[in-house]
Parts: sequence; structure tokens; C-alpha cells
Amino acid sequence: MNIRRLPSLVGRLGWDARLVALLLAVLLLAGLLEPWLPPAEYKAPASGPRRSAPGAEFLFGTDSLGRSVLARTIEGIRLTFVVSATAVTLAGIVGSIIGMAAAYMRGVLDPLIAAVTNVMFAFPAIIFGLLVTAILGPGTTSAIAAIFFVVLPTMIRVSRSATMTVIERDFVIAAEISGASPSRILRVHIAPNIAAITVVQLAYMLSIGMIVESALSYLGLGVQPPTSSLGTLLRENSAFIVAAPWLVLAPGAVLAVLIFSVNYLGDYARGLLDPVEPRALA
Amino acid sequence: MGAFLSRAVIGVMMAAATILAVATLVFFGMQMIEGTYEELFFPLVTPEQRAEIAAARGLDGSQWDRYVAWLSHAVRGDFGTSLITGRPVLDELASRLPLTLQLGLIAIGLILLIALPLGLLAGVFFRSRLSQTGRLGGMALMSLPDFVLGSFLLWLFSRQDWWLRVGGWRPLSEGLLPNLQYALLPSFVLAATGIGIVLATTRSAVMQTLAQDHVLAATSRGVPSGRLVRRHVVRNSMVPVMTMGGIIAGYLLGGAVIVETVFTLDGVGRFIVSSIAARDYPVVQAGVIFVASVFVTINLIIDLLYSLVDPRIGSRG
Repeated sequence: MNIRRLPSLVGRLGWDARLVALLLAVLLLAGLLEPWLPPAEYKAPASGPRRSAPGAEFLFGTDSLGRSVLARTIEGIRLTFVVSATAVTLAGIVGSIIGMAAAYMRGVLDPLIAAVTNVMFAFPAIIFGLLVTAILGPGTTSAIAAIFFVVLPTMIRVSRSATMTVIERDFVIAAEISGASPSRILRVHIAPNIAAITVVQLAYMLSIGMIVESALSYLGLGVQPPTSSLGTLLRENSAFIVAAPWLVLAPGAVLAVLIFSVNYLGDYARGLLDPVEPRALA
Repeated sequence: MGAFLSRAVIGVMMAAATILAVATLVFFGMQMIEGTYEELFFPLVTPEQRAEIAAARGLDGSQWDRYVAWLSHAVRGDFGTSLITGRPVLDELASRLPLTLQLGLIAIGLILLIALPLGLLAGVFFRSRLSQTGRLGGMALMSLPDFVLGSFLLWLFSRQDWWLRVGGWRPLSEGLLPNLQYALLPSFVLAATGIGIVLATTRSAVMQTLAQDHVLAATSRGVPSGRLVRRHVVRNSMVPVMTMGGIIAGYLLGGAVIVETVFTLDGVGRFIVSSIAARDYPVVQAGVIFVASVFVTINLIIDLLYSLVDPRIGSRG
């Protein structure tokens, strides 16, 4: 499916997908606009009593330094989203270029790339992320690098197999016969036709990216305090799970909702791109 | 059978090459980490003394020489001794393996017992409301990070006395029931993502099969629906589900790190993580090779099983 037809999908979204999209938009907007929203004032220590339960004044309660959990959770949305979206976008661009090149050039390049992606798949994502962060040192950059390498092999595979199906089409053969250069064929004829499937895959990968980011931060290797991603919040407060459960459960629930809505929309978009119509058994 | 055999030989060679590549990456990756073992643990000694300490532990010489020496020992099954405890690396890993292995096996059992039947039902009765619920439930499980679900259960079960325990461990040698009392919740957390993935994959694989012409043909021949599902649908839906097996294996191995951390269990996953921080190079190298080998072997077996389930794949080579 051509990328130019992607916007037309929006018109075909059902009410459920629109609702989830709205929820996601609200969460992300809140995260991105967080520094200018009212709760931001209560991010500083001693903004309220220490470890007070959720109530009218502090919707998600306060943590052990008297900071508003709501404010820190909204900040966490921004960091979790920005870190994973950056990594996944980079991996999408690099992965598609490598995948298209592998499928189109063939020769030695294709099996070589296949072998390298197999090695990358052989690393469980978390262990791989651990090593990358261990090498680069804990922090935002290494979290981005870790997610990049976790997502990259999938993006290579997806764009490679999508390219394979496009290569055989008549318009590509026609372009080749009329003397178009390989780079022109990749840019003009192949890229727009694999873009839709790549973008939908990216949505899925975004949810994986957010899981990896928050897991690394939970293990203490991602975003470092005093700024916090959602995973950092869970790590910091895991000791208070019994005494002050809202410190852990509130950011955890927000993280789960965030990932769920990305997954839901990704699945929905894929269903629209590639509909399956099973027959009911009599 | 010749095709199967050559497929197996190529597969084993590819697996060996992958493990070698992983071993190499880990070795040089660990060397690149800022702050070496001797710098971290002996900060207050003179450079000469530090060089001596490094030499005593085999950490001197060029990286390449050390790599060759380590590799030639490793292929003979000698992974050296832990820099921290001084015990053989294999003993350290072996003492933690039963816990991780058990978590993984119970998780696989839970995935198969819960996700396969539910996925099949949700696929066959795809128009029912239950099927939609199954789809959403599967997606919710996929979207729930291990440590969020783990923290939630930790909170819930620390408030209620519902027999199951969070935190602590009783080995199988103390009896099955006490063991399950401690192992079941961590295993469930480990399995959750896998249950979601397998449920969703099975459901969509069954729906894809139901859309095929041979199912229509069988229906019009009057094949009873029970037999149709057993003979036509289940078998044809197996391949995409088996593909997920490899991915699930990766999730379980990585998830073990998180689950062992959330429930503070002394397993292989948490051991590797703490060894990275402690610059225990031999342990990290052996641990990652072990994890990668398990993963590669499972994928190899799955790959070979394909050609048995679907003969067309084998003949293509």
C-alpha cells in the first residue's frame, strides 16, 4: 500500500480507535506540555506533606520527599515517550534503508545482513540493553542506543520482506528497463510503497521501545534522577510498595495505559492495511 | 529426509557462528565499559600494585591475547573463576540455574495451558463477544511491563493471605507445594507477556486459516466442524504460532532479569546484571553465552520442527 493512502485510514477508524487515539493524545500532550501545566509547580521537594495518600489536593498523592506524584508521572510520560520515540524513529529510518538495500542489491550483501540481524535477534532485549548501557554508561543516550539496537533488526526484516514483494511489480521492472538508477528506484518506486507497512510496524516498535526504556530505567540504567521516566519512578519507590502503594501503582498504571493505547492503534492500523476475512464455521 | 538433514547441519553451523559472534561482542563490550575491575575495587593502590592485581587475575596483556586465551578455554568448557567470589563461574551459574529454569518452565506451561486453548476458541468463534474480549485481554497482557504487573501483585499479595507468596524462595527439594507457593506468582509475571502474544497470534492464525479455500471446500464436503477444527485448522495454524515460540523464548530469558529483580530472587538473570555492575567479566561472558545458547538452540529446534509440521518448507531447503 502506498504511503499517500495512509491518511485515508484515519477516516476509516471506528469509534473505539478514535477513543483510544484521543486518550493517547491527551497523555502525550500532557507529557509534552508538562513544564507549562499547573502540576509542574509541585515537582519540587517539600511541595506537600511526605507520602500523603491520594486526595483532593494531590490526586496521585506525594512521594517521600513531598513531591506531587501526578506532576512527576506527567514528566515521566514525556521522558519515556521522547526517549523511545527518538530511538524508534532512528531505527525505522536506518533499518528501512538497510532492509531495502539488502532486498534490492542481493548478492553478498543480503545474506551478510541476514546473518548480522540473526546475531542481534539472539540477544534478549533486556540483556542487550544492559550491555549497551554498561558500555556507554547509564543515562538517556545509552537508553536511546539500547532501544535503537533492539528495534533495528525487526525494522530491517520488515522492510526487507516488504521490498521483496514490491520488487517484482511491473512498475519497478518498467523503471529498470527505462534506465533508472538503483538509488532512484529505491527512493521513488520502492520507499513510498513500503512506507505504510513500515510506519505501522513503527507504532508496534514504539510500544516495545517504551517497555525497554522503562525496564532499563527500572533497573537503574536509563533516565537518571532527579529527572525521571515512568520506569525510574517505579524503581525509586519500589521500597514503599506496601507503605505507600500509590507511589508505584499510579505511574505503573499510566505506563500500562500508554503502552496499551499505542499497541491498540498499531494493531488497528495493521488490520486496516491487511484485512483478513475468515468464514464462520457452520 | 536428506533435505531435513542438510537443513539441520546448516542450522547447527549458523547457531555456532551466532554464539561465537555473541561471545566476541560480549568479550570486547565488557572491556569497553568505563572503570575496569581493578580500578573499581582497588582505587587506593599505586598503579604498579594495580597492575600486579590485574596480572594475578589474568587481566593483563593485550585484549586480543586475552580474548584468544579465554576463547580457547571456553570451547573446552572452562569459563574461569569469578573475580568476586573466586569460585568457578560454571558452579556459580549452576547454583542459580534451577530457580531460573523453574520459573521459565512453569511460565511456558502457563502460556501453553492458558493461551493456546483460549486463542483457538477466540479464533474459531471470532464473531462472539468473548473473542473480542480475548483480543483485548491478550493485548492488555502484552502491554503490561513485567515490573508493573510484578509490583502490583507484590502489593496485592502482601496485603492478603491468599496462600501464594511474594518474595523469598523454597526449592523443589522442600516439596512441590511449598515450592509452588513461592514460584507461581513470579512465573505468572514472567509468562504474562507470552500469554498475550500467543493468545493474539493463535487467534489471528486460526482466523487466517478459516479464510482459506481448503476450509471452505472441507465445509462444503460436509466435514463435521469438530473434525474440521482438529484436522484442518489446528495443524495449519501451528506455523505462525511456532514462529512466536522463538520470540517468547527471548522474552522469557530477558524477563527473568526483571522478575528476579522485582521479587528479589537469586537467579541467573539478576546474577548477570549484578555482575555487569561488579565488572565480573568471566561471569558476564559465560552468562550471556549461556543465555544466547539457550535462545539459539530453541530457535534451531523450532526451525527444524517447521519442516516436520509443514513438509513444503523442508523441500524448499
